[in-house]
Amino acid sequence: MAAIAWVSPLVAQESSQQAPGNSLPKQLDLSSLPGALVEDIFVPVPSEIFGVLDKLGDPDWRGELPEEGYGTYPDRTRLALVFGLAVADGFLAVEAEDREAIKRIGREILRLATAIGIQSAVTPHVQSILEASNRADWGAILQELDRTQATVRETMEEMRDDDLARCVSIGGWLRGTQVASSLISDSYSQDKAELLSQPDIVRHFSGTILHMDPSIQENETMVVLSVGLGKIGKIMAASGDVIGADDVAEIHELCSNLLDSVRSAKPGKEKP
Amino acid sequence: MKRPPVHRRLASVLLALMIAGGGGALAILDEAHSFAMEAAARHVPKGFTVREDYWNGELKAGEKKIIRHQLFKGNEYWFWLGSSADGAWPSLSIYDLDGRPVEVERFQELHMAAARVLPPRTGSYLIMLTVDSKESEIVDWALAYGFR
Repeated sequence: MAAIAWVSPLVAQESSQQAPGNSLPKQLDLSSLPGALVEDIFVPVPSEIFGVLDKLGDPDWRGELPEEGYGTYPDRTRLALVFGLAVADGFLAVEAEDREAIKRIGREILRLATAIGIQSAVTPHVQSILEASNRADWGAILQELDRTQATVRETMEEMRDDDLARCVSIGGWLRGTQVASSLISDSYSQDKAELLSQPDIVRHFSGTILHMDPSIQENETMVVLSVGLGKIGKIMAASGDVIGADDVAEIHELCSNLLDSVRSAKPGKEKP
Repeated sequence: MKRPPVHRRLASVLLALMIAGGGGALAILDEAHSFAMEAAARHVPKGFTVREDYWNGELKAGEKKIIRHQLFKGNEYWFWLGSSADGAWPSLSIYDLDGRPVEVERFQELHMAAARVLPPRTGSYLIMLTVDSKESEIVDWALAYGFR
């Protein structure tokens, strides 16, 4: 009875409170924002774009799957970029509903994580992904891939490797954009092309590179990436709402060249 | 969905504080996320994928925060805002870059609020949030989102 007497006033108080309603402005004056901007930027996962492409057509997801593994790399910067690329391929494999590809990519994700030194954080996620692939539980795999990215980011931040966490994001976004632009080019429409309108994301990546530790910023691959991202960002910003077929093709070529630079034994020169 | 009685939520906060020890503040921020997830639970069965990433922090009651985020036309989004502060009434609105609100549905309850968006175009949007409370000066908040 004492417990009920203790609880009752709180419950009564809660149920008697009226919603104050939405106190936020009906129209926002962007020249004079009434609140502080939160600095954290979250990069969308590839499935946010891939899902829309699925709704707008019948993309050849299997045609975009990688045919080989991800190689080995002498430095952690490139390892982190390729790790992000591999996770993006995981999202792609789910769209293709290719269980063998998911298993192959899952094992590669674990191999790359081991090379980076985050194996213990990633192993449970890869195990879940492999188990879910046996059940063809695509939703569970997508969720687990997102969790993998979040765990990797948290782990790297705990290891004071924030810059490498950002490299994972950059690698993943480049690969997702490469795939999306390829599929859009195959069957162009303005609605699909609009999905590439992400100048803020590119600006965010360019900004993070500028604030990276000089040892990473001056990495040859990062220098190439910085220039390439600048070009991609300009196309996206200039295109506005309507990204033409030529611009889509150019974005695809830039992403492909940048990823080739990341994966080649020696960082490649930027192609004209 | 039935919300757990008040005394159970208080007990879970106290337990979280005991477990967290020196990380007590962190436990309270996670409780805000729990309320956001409670709001999200209504929509997950309808096919919404909840992102692992979420924003969180503290603010003065009534203070506004703005988040800039990329949305894609063709997706449907829900944003869920939670706060565990006593008497917390969160609210949020989503605006395009012309300052026009774009949410098509909203709800607000004690400790949680949510808004649904069908972006009219792909691009950046501004999410404004606040938490009103007559009982707490400083309030925690957590904002998560899902899409389908």
